Amino acid sequence: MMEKTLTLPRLGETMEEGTVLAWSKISGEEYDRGDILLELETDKMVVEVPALEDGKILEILADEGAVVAIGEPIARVEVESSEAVAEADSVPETSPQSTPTSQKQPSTTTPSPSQEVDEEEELDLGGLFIKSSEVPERVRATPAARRIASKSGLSLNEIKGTGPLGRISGDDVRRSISRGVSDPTETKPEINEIEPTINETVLESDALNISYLRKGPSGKTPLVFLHGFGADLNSWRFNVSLLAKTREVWSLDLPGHGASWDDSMASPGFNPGVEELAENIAQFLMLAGIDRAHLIGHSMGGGIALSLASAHPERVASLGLLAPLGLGPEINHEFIRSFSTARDREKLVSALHRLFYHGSWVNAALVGPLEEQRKDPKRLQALSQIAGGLLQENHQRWQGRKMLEKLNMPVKVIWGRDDLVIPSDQVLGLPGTVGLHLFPETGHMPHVEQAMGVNRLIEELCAFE
Amino acid sequence: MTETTYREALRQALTDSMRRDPSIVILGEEVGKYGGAYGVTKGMLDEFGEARIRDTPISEEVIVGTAVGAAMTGLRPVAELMYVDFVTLAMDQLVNQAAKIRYMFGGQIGVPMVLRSQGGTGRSGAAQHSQSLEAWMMHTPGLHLAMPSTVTDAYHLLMHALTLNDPVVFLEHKGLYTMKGELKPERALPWGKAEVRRKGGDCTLVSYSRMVHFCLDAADTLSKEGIEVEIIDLRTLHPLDMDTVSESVSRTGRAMVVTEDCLTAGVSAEISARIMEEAFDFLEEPVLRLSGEDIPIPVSPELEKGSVPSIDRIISTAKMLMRR
Repeated sequence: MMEKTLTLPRLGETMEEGTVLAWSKISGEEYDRGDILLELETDKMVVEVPALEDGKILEILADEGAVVAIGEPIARVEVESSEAVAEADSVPETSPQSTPTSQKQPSTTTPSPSQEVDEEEELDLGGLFIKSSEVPERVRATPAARRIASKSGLSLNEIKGTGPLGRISGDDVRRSISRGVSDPTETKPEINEIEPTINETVLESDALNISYLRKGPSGKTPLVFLHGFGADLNSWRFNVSLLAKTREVWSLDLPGHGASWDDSMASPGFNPGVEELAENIAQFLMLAGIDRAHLIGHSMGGGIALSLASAHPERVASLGLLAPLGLGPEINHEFIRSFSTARDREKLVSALHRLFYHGSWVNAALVGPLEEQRKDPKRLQALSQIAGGLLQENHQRWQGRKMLEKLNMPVKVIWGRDDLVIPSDQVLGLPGTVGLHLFPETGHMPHVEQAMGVNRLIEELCAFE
Repeated sequence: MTETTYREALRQALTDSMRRDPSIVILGEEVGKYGGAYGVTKGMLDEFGEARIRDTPISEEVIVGTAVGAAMTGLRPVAELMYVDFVTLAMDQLVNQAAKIRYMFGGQIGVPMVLRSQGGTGRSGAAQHSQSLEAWMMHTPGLHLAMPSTVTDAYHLLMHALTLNDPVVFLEHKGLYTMKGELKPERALPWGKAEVRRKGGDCTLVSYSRMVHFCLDAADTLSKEGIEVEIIDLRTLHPLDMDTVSESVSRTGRAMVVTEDCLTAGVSAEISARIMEEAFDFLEEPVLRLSGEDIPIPVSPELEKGSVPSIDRIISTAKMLMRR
């Protein structure tokens, strides 16, 4: 045990003296480290002064109300250690960050020598936690310079700053990092794309009276495209050529559409539903010698593809469904009706606008051929009959959701977020194994409006065989 | 290349959207027969008729209030205010109703409406017809805020605004309506994504609306002096694409925000604060703000020009940032 003297601690930068407001301990009382010894009032605040180690008050030298200058004795105490002569010289209300160095005004420049001396004196007087020799000298450097230096293990003290007032910039640090190391990130590997041989494009018709377009080299499992209601094989014009670079691609005109047409279809007996059309296509594929195919179907063609895959799973390698029929009851029946009955150009254009997000897709190239076909009342009648087969009152007649849940081949469902014909939220609740791809700012025709993205997805889908 | 104006691009977006979506209606002062104060809806009455294009009385509260109610009950209204300055008269409808309804009714009902208006200087419109009030909108949670700078964005952002299920404030610039450019039909960047209008490695200029063009002009001059600036067009202020901004600043180490609205508590204050929070470790200089003066906009053309950032000031501020 040894005796020592407590002096008035410095509690703030501007404090020169303090008033003892109240002692919490009396003479002869023992205290523990952390106990409050007394309350002091300075010009700024009232603070409690805690004990820094266990001890015992021997004598109070500054009574309550006394005004005491910094460093003057306030009490005699008995403690165990031999250190900490002025143990109460702590700063209870200010954290270690508030060391004099960091309290400099932000606008100050490099400290003048006299300021530095002052700081050291203050540190000695205050007896703060950090010894003056340990106070890190704040180097002027930009945040970027600090980051780069720290990353490369450099000390800023070793770097000469060339910025304003000697500030170290990121470039200063970069310069001091060993020169001559070249940047390896900027070299791009060159890709030599081998242009595949493309088979001749053929437009043929067969015994089933299904017209088709075949393109691309044989070898891999072919891709077969099935278009939507009221369209024809040309609706895949942005997809076929690209995908046919690596494999055989077949694009079909569905019965009653495009060139898969004859007058007999205008009779009331022509009333195909989704499943019947699927059987037609299955038969066609067999006759065409396609044992197995990747099937991509849009809208009604999507329903057909799904139905076919469900009936003949061994013949379908993978399934890509774009805004397909059959995943929910909702469908824009007004659109189907107005599209299948639109005779004149104005009504046709007005209906076609519902298909796309961007009106610019409704152009002469799209409208012209459709308008031409509609001049034949028989074709319009066939179209209306097919429409009748798709709708039950105002909802979708055919449902294939349960079939989809049972399929084992890879399946992707691709939809435009802004589809106004079949709502894209029908994708919700599908099995987790089905890939869902929703394109923003896209309507009912993702393979047209997002051709590049859709092509990529189809390539992914059929890459495995 | 076929060129079209900013005004025509907006009209095209409204027309295309109305053709595809019958629930879209337009209402505002003089939007019908007159075709809108800045001619955006000119001729649309002929195609869509009075049921879908409604002239309203001179009451901003009625226009916005009607739109809010219509949006809640199944329509998708486009309300037009002649000048954004008049939004003060409809602030309750916009801030306390449109922006909050989805949140106050547990998400059961939204307000899918677009409030179109225009702001900014350039036509000697004086203090009540020249303001840039986007900071007020940005300060209101629940509102989308789009501010297109190009013909293509005018079209695509308005098209997209008309598919969102929450209220969108769509602020055009009165100085851009006659600007010509190519309307690229392919899909633009997604909603809420900023676009890099010019690549450069020396410093990042963040801007939107008309000031993007001032920045681009300044960039040409700066380039001749060996300073290559990167220009980011935010396109929408809510959502705010800080990823693109921070990525750019992390490369350049220097950033400056150029806006036409008032400096104090303005958009540039928000963005510069975010840059310092998100990209602090990459900064070589403090982030600078170049924005409108904190004054009511004067009517005199020369004073009006001086009250908002000029190309010269963008150049001199960029040089300051480069310590040149």
